[in-house]
Amino acid sequence: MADAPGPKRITIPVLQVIDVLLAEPHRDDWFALQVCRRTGLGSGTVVQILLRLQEWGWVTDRWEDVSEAHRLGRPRRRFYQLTGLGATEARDVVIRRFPGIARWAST
Amino acid sequence: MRVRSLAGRLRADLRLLPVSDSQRSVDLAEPRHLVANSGERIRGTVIRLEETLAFGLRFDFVPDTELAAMRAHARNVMFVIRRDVEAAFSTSVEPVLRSVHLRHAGDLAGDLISTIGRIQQLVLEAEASLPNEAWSASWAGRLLAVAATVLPAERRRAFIEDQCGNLAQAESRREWVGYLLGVLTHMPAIGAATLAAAHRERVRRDSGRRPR
Repeated sequence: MADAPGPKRITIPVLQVIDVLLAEPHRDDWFALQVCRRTGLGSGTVVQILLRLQEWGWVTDRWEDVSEAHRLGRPRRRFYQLTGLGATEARDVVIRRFPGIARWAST
Repeated sequence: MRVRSLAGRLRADLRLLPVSDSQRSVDLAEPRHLVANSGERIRGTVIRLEETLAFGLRFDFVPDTELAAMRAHARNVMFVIRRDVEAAFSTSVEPVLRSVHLRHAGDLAGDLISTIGRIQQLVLEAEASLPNEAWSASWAGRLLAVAATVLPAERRRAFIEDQCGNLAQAESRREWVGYLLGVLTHMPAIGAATLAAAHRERVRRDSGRRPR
């Protein structure tokens, strides 16, 4: 039987990335280096987390417009956006698995 | 390539069927359970073939006239194979007509195998003739290309381009070096995660589309 998509374990770095994405849920041009800057995590960790979030269906990706990138003299980047499912499930996971944090954050 | 092995399996199944099931049904009482079982298996192969083809025929470059024509031909052939298979296994079809449809679909599966072979060759030629982008020849690009050998072949180019694109956004030498080292030192884990994700996606697709 196929593995069900979705988180089996949520680590602190995953929560940090989700926290950044949830801060601007409609933004559709997150890229790996920017997530590194916002979270303070290493690039290798962020790249892996973005792969995992994509697999869960929590983020989608798209390529930056090639003509725009080439006009600026650099290669394209992959842009990431939090999905509706990602936003809902991320909030649910935090409330369900970390009720203490959720209570503490809401006070 | 997966398409060629699936098309080969389909052709073998289809060639066996007219002599085993449908032709026998002309002379004897029709062994409906045999036809139904074969039908389910063949339909399953057709579905997987369509999915693999839909993915495999998406190119990340503009194809030339010949490649575009071959791609269109492969899609048309796939369409006719599906139509023949559906017609062959519809409940109202005459046994003789079933044989005709199955033989036709089998011949087309052979056509599909050779078409895909030609497409593979054209894609390899097209990729080899793509301009050597400055980023892929850069020092970081070369390092990433070596590290990216842990990734599936079809994902390497995109991975290197994305990482070079991110590096180009670095605001300081320190940030640039930190980003590059972070990716390089985590490549085994990134490779494993990519392979696992690709495997799970394939398993999900296969189990989700398996005929009931």
